[in-house]
Amino acid sequence: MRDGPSGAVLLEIARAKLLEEILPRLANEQVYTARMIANAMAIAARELASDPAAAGQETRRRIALLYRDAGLAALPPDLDSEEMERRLAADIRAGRFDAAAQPLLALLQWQVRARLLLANPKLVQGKQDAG
Amino acid sequence: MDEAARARLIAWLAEARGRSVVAAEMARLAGGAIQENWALTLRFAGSEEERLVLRRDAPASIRSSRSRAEEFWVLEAMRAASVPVPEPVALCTDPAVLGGPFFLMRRIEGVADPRRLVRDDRLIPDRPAFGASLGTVLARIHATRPPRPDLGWLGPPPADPAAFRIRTYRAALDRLATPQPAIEWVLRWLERSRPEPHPPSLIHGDYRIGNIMVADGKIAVVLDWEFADWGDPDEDVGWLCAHCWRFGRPDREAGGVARRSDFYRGYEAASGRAIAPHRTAYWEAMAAIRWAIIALEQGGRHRAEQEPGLEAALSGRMAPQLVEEAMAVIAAIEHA
Repeated sequence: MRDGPSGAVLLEIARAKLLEEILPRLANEQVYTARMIANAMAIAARELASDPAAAGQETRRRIALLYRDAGLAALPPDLDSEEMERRLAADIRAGRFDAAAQPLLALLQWQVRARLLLANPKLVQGKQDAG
Repeated sequence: MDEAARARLIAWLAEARGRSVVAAEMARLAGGAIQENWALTLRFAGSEEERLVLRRDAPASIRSSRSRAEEFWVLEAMRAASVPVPEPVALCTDPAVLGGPFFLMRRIEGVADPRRLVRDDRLIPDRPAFGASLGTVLARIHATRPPRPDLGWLGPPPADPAAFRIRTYRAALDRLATPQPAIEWVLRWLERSRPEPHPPSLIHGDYRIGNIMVADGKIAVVLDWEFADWGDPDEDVGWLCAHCWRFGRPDREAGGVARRSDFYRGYEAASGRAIAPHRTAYWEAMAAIRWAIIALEQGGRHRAEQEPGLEAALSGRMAPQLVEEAMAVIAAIEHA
């Protein structure tokens, strides 16, 4: 354990200072760069606050279920989540999921959504608001 | 560019023109991680001031695209076809001058910044007419068809442009560090849903706002021909209309600057070819996935510390929204 506040919280505080105190004083051509810096800090803060181990576990569980639902031979249980995704990617390319589009799509949408929540959560909220 | 390089450049210009250079000013232009652009203001003995752009590869250029010589030859062909492009002035392939090939083109004044063109109606007062002109100009580009001896270096056109793209993108995915199952699914769908190819045309390959310079509310020139190739003309149509190239104005489906119907109207009138919405939608899904792969490549390149820069470092995080966009386009096609 580290002493508080956490790295994610530090980044959020620093980002707020940047946006509230520094940005308004910048010359026009530097505003875009400052906004990019603020965006990078926000992404880093969300990624620091996330739990990649839990996300990896959930990915493994869902991919294993998908192979079962699609009637394909199970992947070796000792694969890590990245290696499972690699097998899944290769099997999709080879057409092995052509007949199982719906369960596959559900998994992929979940995965893309999870990445979007870290990279740009506003887009997810916007879509949910729009129904 | 150091003093010695500038001196070699001036000497080369004087020799190429057969006149001494009496005044020269150079300034690096913004943008261009792959190409370097320099504003060059010259005066040759006994003549008027000339305003030019010098274009050469950036020193750490990695992404494969047309060489500067090829880009110069495309400009010549497009100028002959009455496509508005910067006038190509001179090409130098001798590496002794600047270390690599470069060319000069006439400098045009105008606005290419997408954010300004999307927001500011003073820059484009008549958006329906501007939208139609986007179509007219694109149709004129597409009127260039193989075989063309002067463009023989482009090689033979791909028999199936969509299949060719899918092969290229899969090879790019294989070079990435992380697996991308969602992108693989989109590519598999694109592979199984390929439209019957059109007869091949010259395509621009990056026809969108940002690569179109506007002056007096009209298209002044089309820029950045580094992705020009033989291909399916609908690829350019889909690229311009893709959601990811609307710069915060998704309601203006033609590049964020005009209505899709106006763009189609101009294209159809000039080409005599009706645009089929399902084919454009196919290429819009392809556009989102192409952009997603470029974004991931840029992010990955940053990890390899070959191209530092915050914008490139952040671009990998854009991939999920692009993939989601491609999936949404496909869902809409399947629903139709």
